[in-house]
Amino acid sequence: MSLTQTNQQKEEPKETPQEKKAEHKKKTEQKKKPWRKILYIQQDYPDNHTDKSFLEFMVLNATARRRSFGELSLAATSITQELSIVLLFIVIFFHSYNNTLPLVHFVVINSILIVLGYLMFLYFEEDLEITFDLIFNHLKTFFIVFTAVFSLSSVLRTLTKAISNDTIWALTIFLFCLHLFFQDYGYLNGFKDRFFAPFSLNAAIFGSVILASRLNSDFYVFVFLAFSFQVFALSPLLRHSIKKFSNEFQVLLTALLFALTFGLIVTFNALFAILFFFFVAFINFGSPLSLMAAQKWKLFIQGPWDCAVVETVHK
Amino acid sequence: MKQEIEITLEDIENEELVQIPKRKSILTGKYLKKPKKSYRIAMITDFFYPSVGGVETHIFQLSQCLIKRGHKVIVITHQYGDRNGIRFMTNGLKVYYIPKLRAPDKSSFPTVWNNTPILRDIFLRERIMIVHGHQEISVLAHEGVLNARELGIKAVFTEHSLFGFNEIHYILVNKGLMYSLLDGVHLICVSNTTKENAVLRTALSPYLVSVIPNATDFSRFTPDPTQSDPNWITIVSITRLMYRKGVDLMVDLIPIVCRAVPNVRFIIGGDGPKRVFIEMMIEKYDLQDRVKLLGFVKHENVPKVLVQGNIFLNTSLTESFCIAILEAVSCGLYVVATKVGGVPEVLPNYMISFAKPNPEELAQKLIEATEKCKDVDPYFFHKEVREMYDWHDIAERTEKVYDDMMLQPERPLFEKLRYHSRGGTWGALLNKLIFMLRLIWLFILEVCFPREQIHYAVDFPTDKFLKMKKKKLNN
Repeated sequence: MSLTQTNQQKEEPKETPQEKKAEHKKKTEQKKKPWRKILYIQQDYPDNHTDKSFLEFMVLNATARRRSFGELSLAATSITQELSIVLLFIVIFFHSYNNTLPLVHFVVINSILIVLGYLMFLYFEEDLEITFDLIFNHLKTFFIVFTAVFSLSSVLRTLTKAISNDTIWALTIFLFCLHLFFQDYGYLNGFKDRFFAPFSLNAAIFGSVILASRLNSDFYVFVFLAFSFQVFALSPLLRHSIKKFSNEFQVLLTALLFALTFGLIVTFNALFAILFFFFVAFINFGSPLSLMAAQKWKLFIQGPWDCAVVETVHK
Repeated sequence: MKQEIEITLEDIENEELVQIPKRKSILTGKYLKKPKKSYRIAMITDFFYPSVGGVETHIFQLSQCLIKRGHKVIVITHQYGDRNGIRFMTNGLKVYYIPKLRAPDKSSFPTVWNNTPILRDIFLRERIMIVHGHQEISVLAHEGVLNARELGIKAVFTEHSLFGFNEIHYILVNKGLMYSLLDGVHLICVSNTTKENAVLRTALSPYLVSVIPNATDFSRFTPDPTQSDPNWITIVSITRLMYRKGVDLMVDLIPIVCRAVPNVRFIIGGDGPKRVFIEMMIEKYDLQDRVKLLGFVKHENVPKVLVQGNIFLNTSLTESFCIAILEAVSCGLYVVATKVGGVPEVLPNYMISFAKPNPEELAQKLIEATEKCKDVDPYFFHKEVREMYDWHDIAERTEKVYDDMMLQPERPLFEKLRYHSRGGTWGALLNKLIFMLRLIWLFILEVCFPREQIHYAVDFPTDKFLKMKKKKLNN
């Protein structure tokens, strides 16, 4: 049926009020054409008409993911580990500085830890072909670095002779803060496969070198720098493979490191130990809770107004 | 006896192929009737002559049509180099070029206090009733609208583009617009998609947003079938060659189409950072005789380029209302465009075909279009599109918005503080603080430059001028 036909129908003039009323009723009952989302024809609606279909193609939070407390807490353990390791390192430095570090015990424990750590790394790491070539390359690198540190230790001891203690402490704090900020936590959590945090590694090595320059004997310097190499360059690799291998081991390792650091700090300064405890509680348990509380505000809006995404962009 | 008729969308779409119900006002010419009341309107924006573009043309044409309807219109914009002070344009359109530092992307730097004295002075001496700001990225428009609302002058804002939500510059821009529109400012959007986008961005009530489309000067874009080469099917595309305009899609689809249809050729006008990729593609596939790159095409030469073609290609990735496709249809070309933003609302489906923004589908639609464009009558297209979009019609609809605005009651200044409670706890506090400080600033200005001492500006005698023009034309 064509619309033009009905528009041209003619009516007789109505006389009685009843007929007029019936006529008026029919007129108002005649349906309007539905509103269409187009601009090129005149529609029987005002310009600010808002149809039922308004915003019908809007999509909210299509890609947003709700995270659980356990998941977030587990991811935060790598930050706790890093913090504990840095503080452990500084505590060991203070013991060395005050000559209260039992050097022989320290060297023995370190050597055992290095060997054990390396074996664990080989065991936990997936996609690793354990050939003689691989182990030989690892041992070669290890030997070269340690020899270099040993030979440079006497130079490094007198590196900062002209600089005052206060400058060294301030610079160290700054550098280790940078190290904590820019560390590759994605790698430490097993999300990425390549350790890429040159800035944080450089900051840590720089900090440990200037700390080492405050020590008294060459051998101390060598032991300390070997320890810093072990902690900042080698341990991330091990921690990555532990996290990927098993979540329980990760939690166990974090707890062990935390307990060790806490125990050592308590011998120095009880207040600092308590602060450390609360800070770790905040990072490991408080921040996941606040992120979960904020998740309900997540609003990612998509719709036909979005800029289209092209697959192959020429550069 | 009248029957109740079930009218479905299908009926209407089938009807379109036979006869489109056009805008009555354009057909009957009833828009030339004098309006109820004549308003004094100030268009305020950063984008105006001598810079050339879509927004500038929109403001100029709208102002001219409103002047012809009997309103008084002035334009306020920032200075362009040496061009400052007051200039007059066609039919007595007064343009104020106020001193304001210009920012790199043609907009200006945002200020809170600096422009209130001069804007207040202009609004009072011209006895402005309505302030109409254009284009969201124009800082001067925001300032104009804010100042107008504080002075009790009605304000309207026109939004010409689409914005996202999830990057920092979008968030700032959206908050800026939300702040400007706090105090009962009516928003005009150029398409329904723009309206949805604007309502989401600024959390406005959708009943305060009207949809009034753009138009273009169709008399400059007339078809000329003698210009197009009958041996080839020519596909024209005139656009800035940048990422947003989908040049990556063009680079990928041209080889596919050239291979599939032997007598197709491309003419690409425009310049930009991605031009080098088109040249690389021409080299790689040896299409020197099939693809012609024209470089930058001046606005007055665009019709000459368009009439050489049979099909117009638009590969934009985002578009709120594409005026380019109107110009193309006016020159009698069939259009193939990406289905983004407000483009699906602009033309009926016998003039345009849509594709998703990937090169394979666009190439497919282009190949189909090479068949369809043979049946196209360019003069029919020109006549049709002329009856769909018209500046006088847009002026009439804008005037309706002005009528609605003038009927709104004006609240006392202190009550307006209530409007500033939007924007969250801290946002609301900041808004209210800024509002109070601005009120103090206005009070200081009122004391130093009282409005009784401001001389009214002499109006340009538009009526007499238009009558004189008519007489001259008739003689």
